[in-house]
Amino acid sequence: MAKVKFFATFREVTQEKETEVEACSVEELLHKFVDKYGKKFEKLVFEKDEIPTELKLRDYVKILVNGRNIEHLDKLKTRLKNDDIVAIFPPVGGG
Amino acid sequence: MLTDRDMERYDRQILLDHIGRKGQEKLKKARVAIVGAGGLGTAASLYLAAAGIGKMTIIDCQVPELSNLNRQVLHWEEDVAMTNKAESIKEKLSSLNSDIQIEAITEKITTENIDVLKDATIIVDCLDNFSTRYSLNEFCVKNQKPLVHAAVEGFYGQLTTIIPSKTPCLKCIFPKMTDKEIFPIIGVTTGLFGALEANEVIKLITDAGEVLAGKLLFYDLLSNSFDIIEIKKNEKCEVCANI
Repeated sequence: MAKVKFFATFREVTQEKETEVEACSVEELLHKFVDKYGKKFEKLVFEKDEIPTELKLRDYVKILVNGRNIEHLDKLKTRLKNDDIVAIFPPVGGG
Repeated sequence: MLTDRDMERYDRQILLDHIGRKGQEKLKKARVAIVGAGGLGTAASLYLAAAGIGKMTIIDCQVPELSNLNRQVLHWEEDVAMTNKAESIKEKLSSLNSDIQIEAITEKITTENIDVLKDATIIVDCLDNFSTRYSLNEFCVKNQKPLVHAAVEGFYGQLTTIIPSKTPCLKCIFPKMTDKEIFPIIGVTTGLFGALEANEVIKLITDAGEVLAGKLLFYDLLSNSFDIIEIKKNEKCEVCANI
């Protein structure tokens, strides 16, 4: 089981600070969350694509797996194993 | 050397075992640059001036607007459309602490003029956009200067301290950030995070406690909860991998 921490808007939409989930990849994990948390979560995470089979992560979502941004790993295909810690948060840039 | 006036002014923090007279002397010798004189810059510079940082450089090219005043609490009505933000903070903080040096730079930081930060020993990121943050990050990594980073929106913010060669840099953690002109924000969030940035600077200088090196702090003011997660270097980082 991967341990997932939600921050800011993701915490508001899921109404949870953290959860645990069985998933082999980040993509599978997000699909499970769409099933669990519904349309609002889906809208926050995925681009509405012309071809619905191809999933694209919105710029709005930042995901770290064990402290590494998935952009530097395998993006949506990043593999997950037991006890991995996943952090999901929006970009914050104000000052 | 601390003067009698220093001893009196900073008495309550010199009483702290973590600071003491030696720590206060280090604060007096320190040279800190605060890049951005908005919400974060206001709070960070206020507490650093009060703590007795010997020389502070404050950098911002903008002039306050009325819509800034909900959070940028060192800019007042008389400054709106009148005084440059760095100058405005310099003026207020010089009245708070006339024993320290405060320099105001009224230009936008770019790759051409970033060398104005060369004299600073610590740099505080109080910016409102990632394009300038990326330049600041590159400069700090190249020149081996600690960078205290914070960013805020709404009731929410993040904080980390980047120690070049040791910790991940900004590009490792946030590789593809885009900027927006206007973001919703409440003043308490910038106030809190600016104060936390000042705290990181004080700890870096005095060696008190531990800083958020390799750690990212998130604070959610709506639920009063904070989390710290470990962050790792990107071994192929275009900025810090070969340093």
